[in-house]
Amino acid sequence: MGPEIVLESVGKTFKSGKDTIEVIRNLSLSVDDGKFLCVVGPSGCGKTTLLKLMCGLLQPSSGRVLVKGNPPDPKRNRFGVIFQEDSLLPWRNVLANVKFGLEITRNKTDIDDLAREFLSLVGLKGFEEYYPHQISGGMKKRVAIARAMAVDPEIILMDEPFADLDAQTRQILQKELLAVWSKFNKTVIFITHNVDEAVFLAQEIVVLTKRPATVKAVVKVNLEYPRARLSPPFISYREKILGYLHEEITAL
Amino acid sequence: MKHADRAKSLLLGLFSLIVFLFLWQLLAVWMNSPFLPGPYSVLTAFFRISTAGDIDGYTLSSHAMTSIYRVLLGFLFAGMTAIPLGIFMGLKPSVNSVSSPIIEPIRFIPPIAWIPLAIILLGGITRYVFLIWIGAFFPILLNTIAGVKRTSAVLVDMAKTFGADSRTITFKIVFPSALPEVMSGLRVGLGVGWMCIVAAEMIGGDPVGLGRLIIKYANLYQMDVVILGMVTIGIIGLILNYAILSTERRLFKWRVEVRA
Amino acid sequence: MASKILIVSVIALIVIVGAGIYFSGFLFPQQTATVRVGHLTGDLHHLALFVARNQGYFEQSGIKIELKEYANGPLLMQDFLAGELDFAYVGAPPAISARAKGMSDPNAHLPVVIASVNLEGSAIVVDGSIESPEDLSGKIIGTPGTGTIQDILLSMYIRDHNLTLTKSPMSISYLPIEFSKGTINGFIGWEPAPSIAVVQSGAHVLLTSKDLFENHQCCVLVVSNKFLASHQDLVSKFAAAHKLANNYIINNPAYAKQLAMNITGHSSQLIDLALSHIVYTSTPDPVSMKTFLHAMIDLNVVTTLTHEQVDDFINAFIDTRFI
Repeated sequence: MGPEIVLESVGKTFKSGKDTIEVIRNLSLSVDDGKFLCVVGPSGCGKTTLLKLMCGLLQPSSGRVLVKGNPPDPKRNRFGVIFQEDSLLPWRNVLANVKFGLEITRNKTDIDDLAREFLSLVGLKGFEEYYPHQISGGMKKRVAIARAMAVDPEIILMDEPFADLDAQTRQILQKELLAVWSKFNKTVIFITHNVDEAVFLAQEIVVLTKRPATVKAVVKVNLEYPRARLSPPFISYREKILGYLHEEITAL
Repeated sequence: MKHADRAKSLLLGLFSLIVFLFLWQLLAVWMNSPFLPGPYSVLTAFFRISTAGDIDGYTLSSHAMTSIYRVLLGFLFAGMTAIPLGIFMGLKPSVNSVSSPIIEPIRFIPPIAWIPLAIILLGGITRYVFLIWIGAFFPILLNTIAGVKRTSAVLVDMAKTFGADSRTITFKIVFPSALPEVMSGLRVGLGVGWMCIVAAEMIGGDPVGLGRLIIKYANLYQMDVVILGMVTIGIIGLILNYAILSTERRLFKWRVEVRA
Repeated sequence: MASKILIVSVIALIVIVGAGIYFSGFLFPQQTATVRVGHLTGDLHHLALFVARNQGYFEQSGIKIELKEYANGPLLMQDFLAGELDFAYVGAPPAISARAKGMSDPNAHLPVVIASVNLEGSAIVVDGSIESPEDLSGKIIGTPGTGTIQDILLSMYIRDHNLTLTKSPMSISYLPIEFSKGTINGFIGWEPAPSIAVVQSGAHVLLTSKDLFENHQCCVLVVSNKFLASHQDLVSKFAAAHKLANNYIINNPAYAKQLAMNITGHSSQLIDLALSHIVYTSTPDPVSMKTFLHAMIDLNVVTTLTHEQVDDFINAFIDTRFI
């Protein structure tokens, strides 16, 4: 089986009035099926743009993006995308939010049971009738994960999903995410600016340069799960990635 | 505790109402003018018009129901046209720029200015429906556009990543998220419509309607019924407003600011 | 310091000169007095007003008139009661009900009849679905407003003939328009509105004023009781000018018709029909006014008088000194 996602010399520019902003330049990348890949880079380097290119929300200005050999199309491919911002529908309760993706991708018949199943998987059994404004930030992220997982996605794309959470909740969710990932064995692209998080989660870490972003380095993390944050190899991976990032930041 | 607070504010409101009515009665007695009836004369007029009817035999409730029916019909049409158009204009900025040179100046023509044209071109209930429509249309339209434009881009992106088509996005994301603005547009529109109906009835030829009741008795110099008509208009307007407001509260439990 | 004195003296000078200009009006009174006169939209009953103006009768008496136009009699009388008018050409019933209501208010300007304007002058015109008065039952008939003479004539007629119909009150100018649109089956109005519907929309005259209430007082010339108390000479001059004008109409029908055509812009045929329904006379008719008032009490149009008070009321209402 070939790589799941391939980016071939992808470039992306935006027009802002008279100015043209080049966000991504000549970026090539390939992700194998079932891999957990983290993308780290200096803030504002175009990580979110990269994610939107991968799920077809944006089209590349040059080069091409292929998912299973074809350009990404959410109507054909099944993506599970977790956004950094709160993306729950405030007018729907927790259960109905989980059903949202299923309503689009599935026949209407069995989605209720399926949604309940995924809610209990993320530990939110009993919260079905709650509205987003009644639950915490961490619970909202869990709902978003349940919603994404429920559609049985081919690829999970996560854009700094835990950035807004407190450290404790973040670590709990990281562990839960790994548990879900190992259970379903999906390809995960996880964008973060948190190096500790990347080393804790990823099999492979892509370090981006500052804008216009391109690949600075690809680091394979050869550590067994679950990883201990205080172990020397963990720390040395972290130092290595931080070193790359430091070069980019001081080069500004 | 909360219950006691509510009872207290209710009592306070009742007290100020009684003081107001007392002062009004006092003023009426002091002025001793046949053209300034006190609340007591208005109350007797209420019983008289409610039971025996007005000079043409129409009771107060038939006047009120007729006005309400006209307003709700016009309001319904305003909602049916302004909401879809507002969503369309909110979603497509090009439609907005094409239509705004037409819509913007019309928006500033007060509904009352349309009355002579409506009387000459239209007849019967269509005239009232048209005037209410004109009055209620723009608040609903502008609020709908604003609501649509405020739709969170993340929610739209989220739906797109699930493969949602534009129809699904419109109905499951854009419309529900614009709904609070749409509802407040409806509330303002209904208020404007209610004010238009009275003006329209004062000029139009139908013998029923609260506006007509006022004009009839102004022509007979019987101000007790005139004030009765005014008070009825005020109370019904208040009730209509409250009805939409409480619908909003029930519908938008998810919106924290509405609950507060 | 010096500049302050300068400013003060400039202000003082302005005040003195201004006051001088202002008060000179009192020292050298104007030869002509301006009076405010109310009349109704497109009402041929008030032809005398236009004749008097055209023939210069008012100027000759040293009176300058300022006209105010109203959609119907009750609207006019609302302004009259508030003191916005000195004289008015108005239907007798609105003037009666306004006086009846305002009598107990010392601040109200009460109307006093100083002359008749015309008798009769209204007509019910209808579409083809109504051939006889009985056909009025269940139909929609327009009126120029609740409390107008036409409204009361219609109410009296349907009461006396046991008819039920829907009255549709609106502005006089809309009556022929609504009729042509078919919104109403017919209407009662003052001339020339009924004749307009006849000539322009194929209406036919069902009943004229003569059929409804022969020789009934229609419009009257009223003056405010307060104005009368302070300006009796002007009232006398105004009434004389009015009487002169009404006589001129009676003696010069061709002139009257031409003037009516000029002010309304209608055809010779239409004006002929309209004028045939109007009787111009300056002598008020107390008998028909009493009949009106009795009917108005029965119809709840007047609620502050009893039938016993009618004679005294009408006698006080009409001041015959000026005719």
